[in-house]
Amino acid sequence: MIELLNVNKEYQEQHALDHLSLTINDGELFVLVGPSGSGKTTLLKTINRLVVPTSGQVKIDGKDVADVDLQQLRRRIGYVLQTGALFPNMTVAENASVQLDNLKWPAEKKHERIAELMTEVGLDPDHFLDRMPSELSGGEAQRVGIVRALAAKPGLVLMDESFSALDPVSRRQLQQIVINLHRDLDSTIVFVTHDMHEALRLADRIAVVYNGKLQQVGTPTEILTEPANAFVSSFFADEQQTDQLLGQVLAAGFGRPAKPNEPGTKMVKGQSIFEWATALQKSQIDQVIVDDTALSDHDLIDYLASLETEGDHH
Amino acid sequence: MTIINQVISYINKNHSDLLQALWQHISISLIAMLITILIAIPLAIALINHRRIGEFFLQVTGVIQTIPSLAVLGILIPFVGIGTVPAIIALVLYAIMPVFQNTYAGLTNIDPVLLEAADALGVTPQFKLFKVELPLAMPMILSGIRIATVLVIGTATLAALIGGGGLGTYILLGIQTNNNTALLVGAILSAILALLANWLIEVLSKVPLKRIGIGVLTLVIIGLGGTIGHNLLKPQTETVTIAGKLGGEPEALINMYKDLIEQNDSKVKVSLKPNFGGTSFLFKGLRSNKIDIYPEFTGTILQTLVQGNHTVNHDPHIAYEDARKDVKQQFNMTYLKPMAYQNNYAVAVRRGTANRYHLRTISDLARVSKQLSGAFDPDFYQQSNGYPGLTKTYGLHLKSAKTMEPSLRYEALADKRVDVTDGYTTDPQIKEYHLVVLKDNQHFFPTYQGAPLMKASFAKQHPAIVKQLNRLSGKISIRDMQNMNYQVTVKHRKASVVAREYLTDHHYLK
Repeated sequence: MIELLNVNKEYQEQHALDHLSLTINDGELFVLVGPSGSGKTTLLKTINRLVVPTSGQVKIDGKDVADVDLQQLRRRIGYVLQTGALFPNMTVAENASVQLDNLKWPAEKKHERIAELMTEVGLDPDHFLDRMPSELSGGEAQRVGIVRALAAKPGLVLMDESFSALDPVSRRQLQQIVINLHRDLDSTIVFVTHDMHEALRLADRIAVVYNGKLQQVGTPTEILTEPANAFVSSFFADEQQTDQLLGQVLAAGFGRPAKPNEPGTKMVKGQSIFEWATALQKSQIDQVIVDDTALSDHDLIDYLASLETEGDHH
Repeated sequence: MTIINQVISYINKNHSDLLQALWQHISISLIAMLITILIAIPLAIALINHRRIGEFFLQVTGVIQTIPSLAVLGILIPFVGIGTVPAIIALVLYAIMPVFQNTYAGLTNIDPVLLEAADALGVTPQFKLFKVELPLAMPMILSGIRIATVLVIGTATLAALIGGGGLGTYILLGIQTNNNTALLVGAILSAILALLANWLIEVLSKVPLKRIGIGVLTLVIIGLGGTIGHNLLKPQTETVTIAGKLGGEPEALINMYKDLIEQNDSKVKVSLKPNFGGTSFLFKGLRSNKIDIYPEFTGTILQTLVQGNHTVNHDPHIAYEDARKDVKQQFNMTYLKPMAYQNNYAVAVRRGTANRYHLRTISDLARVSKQLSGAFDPDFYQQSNGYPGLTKTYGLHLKSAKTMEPSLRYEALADKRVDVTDGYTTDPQIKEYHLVVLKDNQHFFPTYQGAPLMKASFAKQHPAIVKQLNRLSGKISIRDMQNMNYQVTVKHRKASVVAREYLTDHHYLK
């Protein structure tokens, strides 16, 4: 469990983090989302103490990170940066085993672990281990970055805007890899992004950060259906979504055929997905029926996350 | 073509000496670079996280760089003496700036994302330095080392000025004796050396560090083994070091000393350091036991070396006695009896000028001096026993008088660009250009006679050497010396051969 208690960070009398408190549970895929300059990356970096708070406490499993040996702490935390940030003077294998080297793993065990992870992220070890970072594409480099972060079987992995520099196709593939890895491992993952589609797609829970303040914490459904304030609702409700109609959701293949007389709020294809979200919030069983199709809250989130590839090419 | 042929034949004739100078040059440069690297790189590493001090050091090394190398040598001599040590210190001072600057820039301009990655992964400080920072800065560091090495090899030619040896010896010799071939050989060899070093570092920079380390280690072991073996095999002999000032005359003299000493006692080995430098270098070398003997002039001892206000007596015997007593009293040195010839200042004109104006003495010259122009050695032009004194004593007022590099002024005279120049009575150019030396009819110039100078303790311990050197006292006429100088400086024959010829012809050698 990670606890941020009243964490405050000032740069030249400006609050990067303004007395912010937050708890992240074990095993969660927790996403920090907000526009650039909101303080989300600063917040992430207080966890492995790359940023030292001006005041307040950060505790991992009850221990204040200010009191533990920094190198020991960081060797047990995986870290994936915005770009691959691979060391250009080392091979892929050497890059991937940086933490293992520092933890003094034996060579054979090291190789076995790296090869296993390489396979999991979809890189053939025989093919890639001896390459130099300059010979990799952005997506491949970031996969190696993920392998490097996971090599030492960390209980906690921090990912800082890790996919924002990638093309949409690679980004989607890597998001899927993170989802799969999170399912297979029991690590806690804290993921920073400015992209709300990415947040919706990945998160167990989302924290919305703006101006160094925590705006709202909740599941993707909660955030979408009960935005805590105007900022949250505007951040998650750009034109694209409010313009979307349920007919488009069905056309995209979401939902499953409804059984006769299945419970759920009845809606029509011409209603907007904003109305859908409101209806879901009121509904006891988290689903609506449009014609003879049942749409659940998961469908809403997946649909919103999917929009990114069509409209959101940055 | 002739120049190329001359260079090739010069290299053939002197190849063993050249090899030694080349080796000296390489070792001076190598030691200087090693010290530089050992200072500059750790310093840059230590200052990575102290940017302000780092910037300060950049400024300091930059300022050192702007001091002319000759001045650095001059400043160092009182502290560390002469020879290779000050040369290496000066070279290190020069080389530090490019190495430090590049290393520092290389280390401080690493992509911050990579440093953040290293920190975030919790690597040890050693891992961060040796696996991340240094490898990433390596191209910059190596290019700094390359720049510094080329700089050091070029600047190391100045080591010759203070008896440090190396290829500069030939450049200096070339300038001093007007021997363009020697100058070219020295310059070309040091240029080739610089290019080779540049190329070698570039090649080595592509080889993994580990392999370079093994290579260096092997070389060190071989070198050490060779040196130890060499020392063990060397027979037990005493080595006496004899040095000489710049130029052909002292070189011929010290070669005679060597022949005389070695033929008398085969257990004594004489090591010669010709063209060792100027008066003060040699005298300091003698005082610090770097050298044992060097030939010095009576006039120089009285005017430059000993304390007190001395006019050099015009009677050479009295001048010698003054010099002997003072140098014994003030420095506890023994000054042996001088040779016959006097190497005095001379005022020379072309034979044609002498005939046209009926010039025999300097007084005659003063009479017509307003129609003539002169070029003088910079020292002579300034010091009171030079041109200003002539003006005072003889009323000499030339139409124009300028200073000129000593080796060039005779040519200027021969080419009729000037009409009067200063020189020394033993200068070979007087013979070469058929010049007329005007008589110093008012005895203005002090008398200069040469004799071996050594510490009194050395003289006491080596009576046999003193006896051998004394065989030359009262010998060697001005004509003999002028001829030997002509052979060495104009004909470019080896000083050792010319010296041997003289000794053989005059039955000094068995």
